Amino acid sequence: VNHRVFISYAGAQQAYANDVCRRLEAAEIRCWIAPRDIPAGSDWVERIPAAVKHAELVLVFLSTEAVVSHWVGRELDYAIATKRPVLPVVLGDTQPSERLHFLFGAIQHSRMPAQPAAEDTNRLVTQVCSLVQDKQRVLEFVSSAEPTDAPPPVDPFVHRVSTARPAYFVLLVDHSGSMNRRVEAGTVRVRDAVADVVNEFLHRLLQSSRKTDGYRDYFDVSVLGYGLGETGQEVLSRLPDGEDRMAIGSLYGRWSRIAESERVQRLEDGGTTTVTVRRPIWVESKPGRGRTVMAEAFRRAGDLVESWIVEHTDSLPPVVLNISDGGWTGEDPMSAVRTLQEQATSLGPTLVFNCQLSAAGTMPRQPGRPLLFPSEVPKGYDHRTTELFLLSSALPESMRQEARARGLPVGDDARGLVFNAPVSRLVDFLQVGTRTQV
Amino acid sequence: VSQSGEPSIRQWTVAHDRSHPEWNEDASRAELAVAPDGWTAFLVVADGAGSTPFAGDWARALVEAARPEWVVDGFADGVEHVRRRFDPLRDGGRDVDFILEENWHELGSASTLLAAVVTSRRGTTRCRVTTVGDCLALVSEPGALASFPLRASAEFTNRPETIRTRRPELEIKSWTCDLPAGSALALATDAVAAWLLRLREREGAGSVHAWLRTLSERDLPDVDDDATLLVLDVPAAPVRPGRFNWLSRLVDRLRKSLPTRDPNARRVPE
Repeated sequence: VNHRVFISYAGAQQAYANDVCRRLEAAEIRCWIAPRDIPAGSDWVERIPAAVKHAELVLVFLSTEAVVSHWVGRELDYAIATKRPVLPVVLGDTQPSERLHFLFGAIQHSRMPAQPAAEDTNRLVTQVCSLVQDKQRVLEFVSSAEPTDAPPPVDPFVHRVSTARPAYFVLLVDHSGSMNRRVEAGTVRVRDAVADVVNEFLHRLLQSSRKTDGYRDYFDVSVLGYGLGETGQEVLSRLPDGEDRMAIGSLYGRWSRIAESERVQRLEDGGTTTVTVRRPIWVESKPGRGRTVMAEAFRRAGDLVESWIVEHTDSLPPVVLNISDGGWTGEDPMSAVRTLQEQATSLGPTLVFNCQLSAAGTMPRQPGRPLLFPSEVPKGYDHRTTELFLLSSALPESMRQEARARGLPVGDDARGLVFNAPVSRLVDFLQVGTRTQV
Repeated sequence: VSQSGEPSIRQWTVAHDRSHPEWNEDASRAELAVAPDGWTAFLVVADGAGSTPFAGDWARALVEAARPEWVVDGFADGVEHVRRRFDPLRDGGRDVDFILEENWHELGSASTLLAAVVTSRRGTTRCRVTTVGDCLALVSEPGALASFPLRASAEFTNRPETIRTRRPELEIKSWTCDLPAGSALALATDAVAAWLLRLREREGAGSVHAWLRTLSERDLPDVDDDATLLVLDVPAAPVRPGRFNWLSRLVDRLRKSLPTRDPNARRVPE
């Protein structure tokens, strides 16, 4: 490690951050910047903290996107925890979040236009060069905030949903060939079980939107299947008529069929009776043939989330739930997820949760034990599991409570990740990840 | 605070979506009877659980059926009576689809309920409260605020106890307290109750008392939920036999002795 400046930025400022990096290095100030300095296949969890820890200065670009960025937040947390000097550069009229204001309120910072001109950048580069060449001045100019007194982040999910401020859930469902495997020998296929749970989930949302006078559109939903189409690499909507997004009430009557089953119901007098239960089926189980093109699925989700947020700036942040049975193929989804997590409503950034189900023989090299909303980087799993952990947003307090109510012992830093889990845990994953109050 | 020597009750309710007051799933009722030598009040408030079907109907059914004797004894029997008769599919005359029908059969309806009886005799005012769930009774004085069944805003959870049509078991809690002269008893559904407790935690009990006193001049705060608040103002000067009370007693006696054709004719209009 021989860099002097660590550059922290949100994806939207990547080009500008790279430009500053280039200019600093032209001035012989070696920088560390992602993703350039992360070797392919290496562990992000180890690389980023090490790079922060060894930097003489952490240069952070605070933009509207950075304020809600999961990544920038974690990099800053680590910089402050390790007492690295931090130089915040506020871009445009970015309003720091309550937390950043607390952390940086007393620290001097630089201000720059949202689209900095060449002379602004030159001034910044000169300032950084001057700071790192005079360590004493660094300490005078940029102090480190105490890390322990930061107020806990506010849980946006304490807010109730309403028709004026609906919630938005995007389900991403893997349709790769491996989804045809059976949960266990002789039992249901993974894809059938996933289709059942997705239909049940939509049904539950519809139920909680049904009031005596009709349906109230408390929720918008999208269901994207990935690994579809002739190439096996397409991402397609699984909602009726291929609609990208539907208000929950409009799902009523738009099912492909109603499945009926018999169920024994207990009576108040202690007896039982058999009742017919009807379940709408919107999403049929499709044979999996394609590849696990997770990056493309997250990118499509990003497009949907972006257009939804424009219409619902004051709603709960969208929640994207990805259901798969294995690691991705092809492009690493890290960048697409990072962009997705930087899209935010006024109540907070988009949450991304991941569920990987175990089917016979899909993950032979991974440890057998399931991970259910882990708080720490999983040890002993391969780098993709580590990256999935990093890709998964932290569970807000209300969701942690929901998980605990379901008997899952989640910690305060739990992430929305269920890995190598039995299919039966899919219900918990969806119920925890979409916990809202109507 | 009533300065007239007589108690008074003020009531507010607003729907979460203020453009749809008919979507309000809270319910409340208040009765006040003033006699020459004292007064009694009965207040009840309920919050239908929006995650269950027919929640507003269930809250209203409970509030309409509630009686002062539920507070002392008979809460469980009273609720059970309402529970057995409540059938929104039969009574509603509504267009019910299979989603709602199954929802009703699977979940049933749920609501919280809090009822309070206040009696004031010879300058002593006592209050008894019985409740299931997280509606709150708050006794507010200029320098103190007591609340039941929760004491701090952090104690509210997303899973309060409720009265459910599908489950006869009840977790009933009761409380008895004195209401000093000049105090106010507030009954509030969860969101507005939590807001009041947060106001106390932030600014002190005096702020809550001042806010309750001047509430008539404005609306309830936007608490991101249906909100209902009943406020009983206890007179600063308690009702005592005084120089004019002999006259009101005489009038009362005369009224009772007069024949009437219509039993409603003697009712004081609301």
